[in-house]
Amino acid sequence: MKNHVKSLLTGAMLVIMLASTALSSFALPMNTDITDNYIYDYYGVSVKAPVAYKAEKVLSALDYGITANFEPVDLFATAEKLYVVDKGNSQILILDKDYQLVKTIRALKDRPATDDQPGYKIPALYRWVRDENGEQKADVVVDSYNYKVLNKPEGIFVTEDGMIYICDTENRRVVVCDEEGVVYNVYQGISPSVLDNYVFKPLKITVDRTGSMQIIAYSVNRGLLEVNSDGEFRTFFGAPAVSFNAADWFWRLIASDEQKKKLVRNVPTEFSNICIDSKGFIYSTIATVDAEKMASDYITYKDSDTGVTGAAAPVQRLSPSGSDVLRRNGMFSPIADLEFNVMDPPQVVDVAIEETSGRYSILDAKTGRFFTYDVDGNLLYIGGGSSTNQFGRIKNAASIALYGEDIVVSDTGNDTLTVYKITDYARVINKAVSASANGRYDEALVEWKNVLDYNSGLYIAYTGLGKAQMRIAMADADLEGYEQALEYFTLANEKSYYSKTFKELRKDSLSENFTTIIVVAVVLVAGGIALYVVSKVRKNKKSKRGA
Amino acid sequence: MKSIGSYFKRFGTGTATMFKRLGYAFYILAHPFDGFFDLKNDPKRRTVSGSVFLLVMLAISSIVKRQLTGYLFTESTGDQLYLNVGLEVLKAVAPFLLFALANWCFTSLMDGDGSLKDIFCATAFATLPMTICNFLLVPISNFVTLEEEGIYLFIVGFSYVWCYGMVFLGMLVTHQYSVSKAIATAVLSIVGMLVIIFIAVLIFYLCQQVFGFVSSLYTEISFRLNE
Repeated sequence: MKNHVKSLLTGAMLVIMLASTALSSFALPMNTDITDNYIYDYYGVSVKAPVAYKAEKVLSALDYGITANFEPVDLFATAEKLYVVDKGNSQILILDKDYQLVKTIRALKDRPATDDQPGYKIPALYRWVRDENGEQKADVVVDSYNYKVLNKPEGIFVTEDGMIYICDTENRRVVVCDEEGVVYNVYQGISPSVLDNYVFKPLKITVDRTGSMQIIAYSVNRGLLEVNSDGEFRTFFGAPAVSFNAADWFWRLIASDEQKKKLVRNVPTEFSNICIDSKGFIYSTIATVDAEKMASDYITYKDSDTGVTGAAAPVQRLSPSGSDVLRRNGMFSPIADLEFNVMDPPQVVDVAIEETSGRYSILDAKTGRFFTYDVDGNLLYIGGGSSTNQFGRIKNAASIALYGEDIVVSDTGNDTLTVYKITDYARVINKAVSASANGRYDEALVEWKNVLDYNSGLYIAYTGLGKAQMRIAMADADLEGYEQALEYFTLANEKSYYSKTFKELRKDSLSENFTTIIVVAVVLVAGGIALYVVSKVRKNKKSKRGA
Repeated sequence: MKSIGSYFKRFGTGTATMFKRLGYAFYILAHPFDGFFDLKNDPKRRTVSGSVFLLVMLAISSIVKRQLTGYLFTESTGDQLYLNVGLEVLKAVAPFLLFALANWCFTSLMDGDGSLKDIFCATAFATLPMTICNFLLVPISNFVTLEEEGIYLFIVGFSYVWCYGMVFLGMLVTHQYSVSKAIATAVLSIVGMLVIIFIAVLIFYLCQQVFGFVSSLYTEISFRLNE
């Protein structure tokens, strides 16, 4: 009997223990940690958030059979392949989906002639001079043996048909080749006529659909070089406007020549990296921003505020005409960390975009963190950085690529590639953002609610819910739907959208209750007139009596 | 011996008279010069209890405005969740009380005709525009969008201009001042308000110090005694 009770008790205890462990693991969705990550609330204060991307592997030179000097300065991801520019060893690594080395581009080959196409012979490296007409002209051969290899390349771009554009920096040329290293074209001696004695050194490159190239070149601060497919310089492109302030001008006015030399020169800053989307818009980043202006401008509570612009904006979206059209409609402009020291601001060195939803991630070299924004400029999640565990810690971030669902960050401090795997949390956010961006509002409603299961304090989720709810309500002038949207916008502290929704609600409810309002108004006016007349008549009677 | 009922009756008639006299506040809105003159000189017009009532209404209106203003015109979500009634009353009423006090201090030295009671009544009656506008702003803030915020902001500005203008005119008429002298007195009164605040803060701080000293003394002695 006693034994029976004992076993029963033990069994009950076991069940309780199991249940409690099951419950505790149930409370947190799998694959997500609640600690060790953060996001900004609508006051711009950092708060805890679930981990969005987890460092999964760190790839070093040894993984690719490289003995030394591995220096991954730039990354480029296509759907199937990841291209890594190894500046230290002057080569391009091509990795597959499992981050295994597929090919290496090191030596360049002449293209043999085929039946329908003439071949291409790689030209030697020339010194370029200007003739009396101001045209660039090849002068003398400066290098007759190194021209068949890459020399400290820094940038790469791969077109949809697989052409690889390499900024062969120390060889002062852009090489167009395929994966085998067979060269199709070489551009060298590109020089804008306004720059004297300029030696063309390309750093980063994008190519648009027409084949023209946008190049960040060494020590050019007038913007990107726009070069057509024939290798002719067309124009400078997208230089951020230099902000001019009165105090600066005043000091310059009274400063002596010696002092002027010491003052910081008011010149446009250089871009740190570029990236192009399928519509031909170029996302560019600036590492050395005007931090004071950034600190004063980044809060954008209302539509009327433009947020950070010009030299203060770490990331831009350049239209084909060269103007910055990045949407900064969030509470804060996309500037990486909101809590920063003005003397030591974030250094945004690269940007990667996801086409279908317009989401983009920017990489801060200072902290090694990447910040992902939606198309409106709302901060979605933060990843990377110096986490508490050493694994996946970034020393000197150089480049970022969105590779499938992974995010790859190259680190020139540790000379590694760090692969971050997406968590369920970030995946749900991505789904919600994509649904919102593509106008699938019913789906967006569901997905944003899923996001709230992971992080109920994420204000942009309420913004997303509100926007979706607003659109759905607008379709059939649903007053209750509007009310719901208003509640979401209140939770998100999103005044401009609240105002828009409220306007719709007011309009629709007025038109719905139009007859009632008119009847009430008529009755009130008629009543007022009647009262007035009655009192007049009474007064007249009184005065007559008095008389 | 009077019955309790008669007290109630007296209170009732007193209240009735007060409300009757309060109607005069609306007359002052339209005719400030005549209005404030009569308020001071006609014993039938002046009502201290009515003035207190007007200040109470001002306090109520500003609390109602704070709590019921539409979301678009509040600072941020959740502002209205925390209300400190005392603080709100102080914020609404204290400036006027301080002004009356400071103004009395200066005008009694500068041949002002008004007594403290007169100044208090005039100032309190001058707050009526603010009260009206506060009540008016609540429905408006719930009906306009951000695009039309001009309407809201205009009424806010208008209420301040009207109210402070009335305070100024009330003072001018009560003391029988010329405009230039009234302006000078107004400026001095504001300085006086700051001085009063300064002294109040100073006294508060000193009291705190004394209290701190006494309490630490007590702690010290109690420790010694326990040894």
